[in-house]
Amino acid sequence: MEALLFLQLFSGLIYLLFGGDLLVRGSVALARKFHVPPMIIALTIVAFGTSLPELVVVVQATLSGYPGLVLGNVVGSNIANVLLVAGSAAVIYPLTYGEHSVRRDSLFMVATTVLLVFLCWNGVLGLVEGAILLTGLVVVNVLTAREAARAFRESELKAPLEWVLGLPTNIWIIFLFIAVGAVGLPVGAKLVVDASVEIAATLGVSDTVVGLTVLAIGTSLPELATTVSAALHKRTDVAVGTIVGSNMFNILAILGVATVIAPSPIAVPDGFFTLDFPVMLAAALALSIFAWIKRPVGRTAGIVFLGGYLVYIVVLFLRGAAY
Amino acid sequence: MEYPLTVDIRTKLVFALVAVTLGSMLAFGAFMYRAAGDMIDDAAAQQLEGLAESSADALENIVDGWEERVQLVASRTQLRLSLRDFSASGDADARQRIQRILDDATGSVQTIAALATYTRDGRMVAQSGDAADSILAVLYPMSREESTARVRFLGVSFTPDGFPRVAYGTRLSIDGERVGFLFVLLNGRRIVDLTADTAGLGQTGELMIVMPDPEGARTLHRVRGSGPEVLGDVLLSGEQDPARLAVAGEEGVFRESLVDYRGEAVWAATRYISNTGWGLVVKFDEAEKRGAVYRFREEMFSLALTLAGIGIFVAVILGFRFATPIHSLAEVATRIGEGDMDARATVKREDEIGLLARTLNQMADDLQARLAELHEFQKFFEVSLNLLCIAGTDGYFKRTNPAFSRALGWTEEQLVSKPFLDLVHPEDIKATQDEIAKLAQGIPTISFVNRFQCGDGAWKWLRWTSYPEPETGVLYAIAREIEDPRDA
Repeated sequence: MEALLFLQLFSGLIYLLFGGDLLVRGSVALARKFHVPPMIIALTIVAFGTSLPELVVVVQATLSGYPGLVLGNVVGSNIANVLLVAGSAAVIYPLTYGEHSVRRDSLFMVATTVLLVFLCWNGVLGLVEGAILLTGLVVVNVLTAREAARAFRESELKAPLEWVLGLPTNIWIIFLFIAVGAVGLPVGAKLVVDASVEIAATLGVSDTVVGLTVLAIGTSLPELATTVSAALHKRTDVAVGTIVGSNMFNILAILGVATVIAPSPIAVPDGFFTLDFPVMLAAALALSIFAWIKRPVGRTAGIVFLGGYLVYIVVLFLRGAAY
Repeated sequence: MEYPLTVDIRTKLVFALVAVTLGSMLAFGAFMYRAAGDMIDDAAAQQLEGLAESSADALENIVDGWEERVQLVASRTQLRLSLRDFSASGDADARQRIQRILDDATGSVQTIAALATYTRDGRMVAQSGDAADSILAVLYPMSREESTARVRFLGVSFTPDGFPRVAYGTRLSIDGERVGFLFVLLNGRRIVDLTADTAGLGQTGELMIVMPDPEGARTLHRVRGSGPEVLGDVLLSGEQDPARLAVAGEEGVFRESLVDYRGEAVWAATRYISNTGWGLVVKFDEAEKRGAVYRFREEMFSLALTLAGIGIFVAVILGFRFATPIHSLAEVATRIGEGDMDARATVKREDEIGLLARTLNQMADDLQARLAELHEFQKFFEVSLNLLCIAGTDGYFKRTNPAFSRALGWTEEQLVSKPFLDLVHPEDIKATQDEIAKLAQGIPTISFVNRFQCGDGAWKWLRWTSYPEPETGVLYAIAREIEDPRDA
């Protein structure tokens, strides 16, 4: 039965990825049909669309009444992104920095992480905290928009939207893409959330613990796959930038939206302050220091990251009662 | 790589596989959805039927047991003889004996709550057990109405703490002569025990034993849904209460429009117990049974979605595995087409795709070799001091080499854009036309001389050697500038 639950979780993630991909491709194709400039497409639909699966999961979890899953997922995801994803990739091939902005962005990430801990200090995340997070999202986007636009112009000549496997041209196919994507996302989110809640019940731990571990690793799987695959091809120059961006987006957008739509303020369990927040902060700081001194994240650091993650997970389960 | 203009073959293959997976899973889900409902409905009906049958058996056993007890007491010869003696003579000893027998029975058999004997003419002779005078008094007249059955069920009463008691009456006779009546009041505790056992009845299921009532039916026990303040019987007066069907003798399983005493829609099975005129009802809340259907359907739906999700994953893997080589072949072909002659397919397979890749590579190799060859000849064409050209028997140059332009002062474009006869000296036109006619018949020109006009208007003498290719109408010609032959 448990195996089936994990299968359901995995299957839900497939729906999310598949649905997200279809929705993005359909939207990009539609935008192109209406002659929207590629840069606008890249900075809006593509940038937002690739994070859509996580957002849908969080909305589903919030509306189903499992806010613990949401906070757990965001914090756990940020920890997993650094320790697990960057760690695994660094063990394979040192992570370097291709983007000029990674130093500044890593500072933003640390600032965002500190902001989250600060907002959680009173034990709840309410409407005000949510509004602050979303405002932070707008601020960061405005500050980085010019950079992003320039980066896009540089890459435009090389391979615009290279990751896109192809866009439909027939208007009906475009609508089919969008429709199937729009159905696939909530279906996947429901499967993922239901499976997570049941896994928590089966293992006898809280939603929060499952959000921090199973769900966090689950939603980090695509990043893990792409980053490790990039490391195997020795193309790791965008990995750190991607992780930094993802961590900022997790806190500001995902948690921001969840907090705003939550029917009642999200309670922050005490356990976060003694374990998860410190680990998340330490992970963010560790990655930022590498970025700041422009030293590649090497194999030793990768092993330390992975070891740290293992220890964190073990400690988390040993003290499961703290949530 | 070029901007992807349309959906590539990998995506198409993945979509095809995904569509098959989703389609089959949806069909599976729809089938399960239908089947699940029917299955659980049937299972519920069977469960109700089974419970009703076994409960009815148990109840009939209890009733049979009661009748046996009554018969056992009635069969005491001493009792009947003493009753005859008492009826005849009013003998106090006989009465004493009767009293002893009755006390004996109530003392030794727990089921018996009270006993009483009456003479034929209705005088009470003796009674034993806890006070039940009033009940027995009420019951006595009823016993006179009918006299065929040996042991007759008379009715039910309730103790103050809510336990039912069942009253029986029987005639006492010696050698066919009636000597009096025996009334027995029995403890109905076993009925309470039977109905209080909810094992196998789920969250809402209930077994009820009911007797007719002017307002509908009445239970012989407290019910599951009543509060603790209710000690005993409960009146079931609802118009659609299954108990009404049971006491009316309608047996079966009913799954429509039944509402029990709590106002809940229920599914029920009923039995009629003819010895006592009671009804037996086994019922479940429809919501509980339907809930099981819904939960089952939801589980099935989740399962179908999960399997379809795994199917999508496998489809993506397979789609990429099968289509990626084709995609990369297309890429290689595109690159070759765009002039990248070093592009080669790296697909290593034994199937048709491998063959295609090897053929493509072979073709690319050949093409590259030909191009190299062509390049060499091109050089000769370009560096030659002789005037080289390809012309048609239609009278136009197709191509001319740079030496042509250098000698005559026309660009290649100018040369190929008009009939070359326009440039031939008027006096040589006739001869040139004759020569072309010969060439058209396939006869090569070894040495033919004519005059061509230069860009600056001057005339130059050219000596031609040309080879026709009659099947294509193309002439390959070489010309050399010569001195005016008339000067020689």
